[in-house]
Amino acid sequence: MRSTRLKIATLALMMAGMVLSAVPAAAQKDYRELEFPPLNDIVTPTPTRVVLDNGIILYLVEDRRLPMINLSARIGVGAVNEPADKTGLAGITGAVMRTGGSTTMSGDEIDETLEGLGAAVETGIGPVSGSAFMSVLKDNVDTVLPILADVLMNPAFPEDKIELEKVTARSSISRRNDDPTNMGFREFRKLIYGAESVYARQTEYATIDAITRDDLVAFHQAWLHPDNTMLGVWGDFDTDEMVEKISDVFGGWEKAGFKRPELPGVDYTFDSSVNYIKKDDINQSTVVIGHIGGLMNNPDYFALRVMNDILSGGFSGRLFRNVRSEQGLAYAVFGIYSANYTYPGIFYVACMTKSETTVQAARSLLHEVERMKTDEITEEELNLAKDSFLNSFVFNFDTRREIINRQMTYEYYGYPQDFLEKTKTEVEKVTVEDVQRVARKYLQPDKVRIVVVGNDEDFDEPLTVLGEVNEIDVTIAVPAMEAPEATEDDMARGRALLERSVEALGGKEALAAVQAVHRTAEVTIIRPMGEMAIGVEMLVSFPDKMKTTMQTPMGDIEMVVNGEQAWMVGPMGDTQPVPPQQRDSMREELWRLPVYLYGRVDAEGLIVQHLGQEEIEGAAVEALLITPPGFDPFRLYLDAETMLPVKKAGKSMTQQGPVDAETVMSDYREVGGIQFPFTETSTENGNPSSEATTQNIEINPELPEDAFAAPE
Amino acid sequence: MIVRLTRYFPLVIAILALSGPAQAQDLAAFEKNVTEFTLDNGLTFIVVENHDAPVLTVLTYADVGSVDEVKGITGMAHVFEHMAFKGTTTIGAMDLESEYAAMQKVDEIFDDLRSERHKGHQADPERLASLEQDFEDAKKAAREFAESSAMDEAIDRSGGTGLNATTSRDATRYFYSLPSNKLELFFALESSRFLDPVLREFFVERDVVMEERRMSESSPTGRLVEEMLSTAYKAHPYGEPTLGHMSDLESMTRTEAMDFFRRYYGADNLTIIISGDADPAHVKELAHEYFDRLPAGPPIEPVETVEPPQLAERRVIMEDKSQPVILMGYHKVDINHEDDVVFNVLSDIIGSGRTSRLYTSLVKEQKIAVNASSFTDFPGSKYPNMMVFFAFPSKDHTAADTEKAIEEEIERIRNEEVTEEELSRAKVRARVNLIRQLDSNMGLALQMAYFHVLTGDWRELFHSIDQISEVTAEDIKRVANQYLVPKNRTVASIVTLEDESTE
Repeated sequence: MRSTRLKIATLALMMAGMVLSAVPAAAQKDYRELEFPPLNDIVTPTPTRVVLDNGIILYLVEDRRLPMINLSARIGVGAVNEPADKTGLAGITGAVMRTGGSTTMSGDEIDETLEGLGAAVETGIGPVSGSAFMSVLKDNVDTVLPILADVLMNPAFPEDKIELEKVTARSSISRRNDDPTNMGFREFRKLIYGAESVYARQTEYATIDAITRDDLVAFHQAWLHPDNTMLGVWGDFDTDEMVEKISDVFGGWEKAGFKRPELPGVDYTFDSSVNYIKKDDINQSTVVIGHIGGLMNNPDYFALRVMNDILSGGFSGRLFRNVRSEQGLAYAVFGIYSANYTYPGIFYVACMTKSETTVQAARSLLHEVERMKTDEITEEELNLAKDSFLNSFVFNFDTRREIINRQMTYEYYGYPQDFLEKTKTEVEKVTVEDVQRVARKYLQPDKVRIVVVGNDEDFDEPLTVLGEVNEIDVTIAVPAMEAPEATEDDMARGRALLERSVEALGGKEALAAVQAVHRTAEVTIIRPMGEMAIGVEMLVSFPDKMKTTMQTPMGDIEMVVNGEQAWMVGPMGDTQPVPPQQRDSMREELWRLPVYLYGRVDAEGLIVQHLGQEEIEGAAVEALLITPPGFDPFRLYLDAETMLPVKKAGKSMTQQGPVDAETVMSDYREVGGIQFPFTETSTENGNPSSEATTQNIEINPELPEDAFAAPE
Repeated sequence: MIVRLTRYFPLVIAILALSGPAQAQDLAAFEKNVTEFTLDNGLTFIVVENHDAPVLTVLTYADVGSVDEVKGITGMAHVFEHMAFKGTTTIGAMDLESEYAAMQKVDEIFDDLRSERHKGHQADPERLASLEQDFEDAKKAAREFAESSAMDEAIDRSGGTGLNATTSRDATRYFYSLPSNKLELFFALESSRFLDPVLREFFVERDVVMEERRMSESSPTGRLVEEMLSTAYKAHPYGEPTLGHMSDLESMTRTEAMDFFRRYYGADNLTIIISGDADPAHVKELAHEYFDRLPAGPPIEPVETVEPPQLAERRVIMEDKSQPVILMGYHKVDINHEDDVVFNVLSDIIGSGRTSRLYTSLVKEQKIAVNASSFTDFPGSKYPNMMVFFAFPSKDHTAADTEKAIEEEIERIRNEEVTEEELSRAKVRARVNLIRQLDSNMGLALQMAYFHVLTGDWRELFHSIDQISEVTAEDIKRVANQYLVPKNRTVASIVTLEDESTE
């Protein structure tokens, strides 16, 4: 390695001579002294605005440079309009409008058609507005425009595409703690707006599970109306012809007399907090600091814009210069006092820094915010910020897409059409005093909420030096089975039924005498890719020891729970600890074994409720809801005639996350005076997952001393 | 309404045209908007006129990337890219003589510090601490003699937007957009940047780069990709991370960075594209005025190491507290090989868009993945590279489930010819996508530079579309059978390690 370095160094020395001799002494113009010609005129088309009979507001700009036609729609609906217990409904509705196709053309047919033409149609519903987009070669517009109109007006919402979106939504929930920066900003948003706020709440497994096709249909009916829709079209067309085409395809969409409700406000009280999320597999922390921001219709907005530029504009703002360029604390450092159109934005400063400089970086960020209030802002900083804004103003007009989207945005949020020009005029007037005044008025570095994601074992100082630390639990909630409120009455009935079932299984005395069970079984594991049959041996020693040995083609895998400890032994004898959540899940499974549950019917805290009589494949069953002490409830179904348990159902934790697990128990046989189901077939989320056939059961077997011994 | 025929029109006709002779003609028409010239020092300029709006994009493409690094200085191409924003002897300099002396001192202390650190457990802790303190003081002292953000500020102040640079395995690209009347500012700044850069605040910027590396390390996919590439390449430097190894970043010096600059930043190794509202004659004048003074560099040899044929499948299994991911990479040819274009069509059919085979099978039908697609030219295209298939399994599925499903689709491609419909869809899309890409000065500049440097002629941009239109179903089957075989691949996956905090 050294030698390669030397080689390059020698070469470089040789070249250095070359460079020196090659450079002429002639001085170039100083870049600061350059004089520039005036900017060529920019031709900025004003979009034509047309309101169709059914209320659609249409903006059009002709643009003949490319033989393409583009359309962008804005619909007055957002995730803010969905019910809290169905968070995610708006996004799923927006996606399935397109993927599910219309009543006349399936989503897959639309895919084929569009991709054959190199065209695109997309729909979506975001936090505060809905959108649609179309891009097509002009020769194909008569094929593609009707598709766009059709999916907006007549979406079919087929079940399989809804399920596809729900799979995607659940998967993204399961992945949401993989990226530390996303975690930091997500939790910060929740801290500012409130975890339940429409502006910060997040989807959960339970809210996605709760969404049905009827919900999508109703949501679409409630919000998708022509008089709640704006369309912007630009490209290679004749304006009059395009108005006609659009009137035509949307002609059947009837005006609803719709008026969009106002967005909810935000309650915010300035205070300080330090919030920590532990993530121990990373060496870099995400630090986010801030408080509530403001609105764009605030007269101080223009001065705040200039302030933003001084604090954090591009490569020359204070944050970038001091935190990155001078201290080298971060690659990514950014911040903004953000102002939204209709609900308050957020003020934040943030960076990603190595664990060892977490607190130092947090202090540096805060220091820069404080300096905005205390240190004078120089004329030079002001001019740089203003020049930068004014000189780059031309870039607001260099594409038709920007021009037309801006006009729609202003109208959508009720801002004047000349808001951008007004911004320019007002920014030109901003003075050092203005910036200083708004910094003092709007920035409150002594009342900030701080979020840190990282590994505190490596921090330079404990976070407590910044204030009392609140640890945020980001564990993803696994929905428990819904438990109706327990009444005296249904508990009494539940108990009575359970007692009858205990008798049917073998009697209280016989069950109480069971100390351990040894069972061998043939289990077929069913996966979408195929099936695999393995031998399984299970040894349970009550109350809290369990060993499961799976004989797989790769070798034996052992899973052992011994009280608070749990571990797994792989085919190569490699031992790994089982994390607490999985251990608890294994202990929970124990409660769902009838032989275990029935021997502890008197356990403190065990709740048994009768849910009523149901039918399973034509046979009457009594449905019980069992809540073991310290665990989530599950359902147990007893054959109304024999009183034997025939099915159990509940949430189960698998390696891939929580699932709805069901097991049907049959082929009861007597062993040592107790009835055991010799056949068990299970499903996860409705899909077959395994079939187990018991081969042998032994009650109170002799236990080797080291049966549950912890690994070395 | 303003309707103007512009430079785009002939380009579009050329792209859409199907027959040979007409095409050549339209390319000729398009060429009228392109001016290409090379200075005596070997620096090539390409000007693409577009006077629709008074703005333009400038791009300097340096034909050097992390692939050109040697062991021990990995990350250098990228570190230099950062240093190229720190000013020059005339930009940001306040007292050059004192500054050089101060930087010299920083370098010397760093050398001592590095030597002391190399002693490992025998290092003298007191000496280490005192050197570290000296190092901090010296860095601070050197900063007093310069304004290192002068270049950024000058661009910012003139209304420049999108200022940035990227380093890849193959290339280093510097770019931004300007109001067109400020064109001369670009010439003044950029010529100085590559004539006499001053690598000021080197060690602080290196710390910044280390943070950039940690960001990538904090991402599960970032970690997996690095493991995959280092496994797939045992000889060729495509296997080394562009961000560099942490220990190399820790030990690299300003002198090494300056050596790297002198070796790879000769004028003849640079190509400059100006796309937008620019007058070629004026550009030529400015080019001579500002860039004639740049020296040519020493001859640069391509990377001589050739990745040997892979003899056996390689596998990376990363147990990680994050959700599963699967990547499957197959070695393939470089951009100038005749089979390369077949991969573009193949990848489009199997792995791009809603009708692609992977999306249809894994996402729509089996619902075992939330995303499944493929891409080519990874991690570069100058040297033989890889075609990669990847999927993010959906919540109840593992990397193994999705791997099997991807493998089934690859087998289908190997065993059956793709349909005519699929083939024609891919060809139409290639054309339309190109039109979309070209609808911006930046898109055009990037595409033209890429083709010009790697193939020797920006016209390949057109030719590549022609070549795509000639690909047949037999070509695809042949290529799939030749390259997409198990022993030629590296499979990398994340297997989820359960933990309370990642549930």
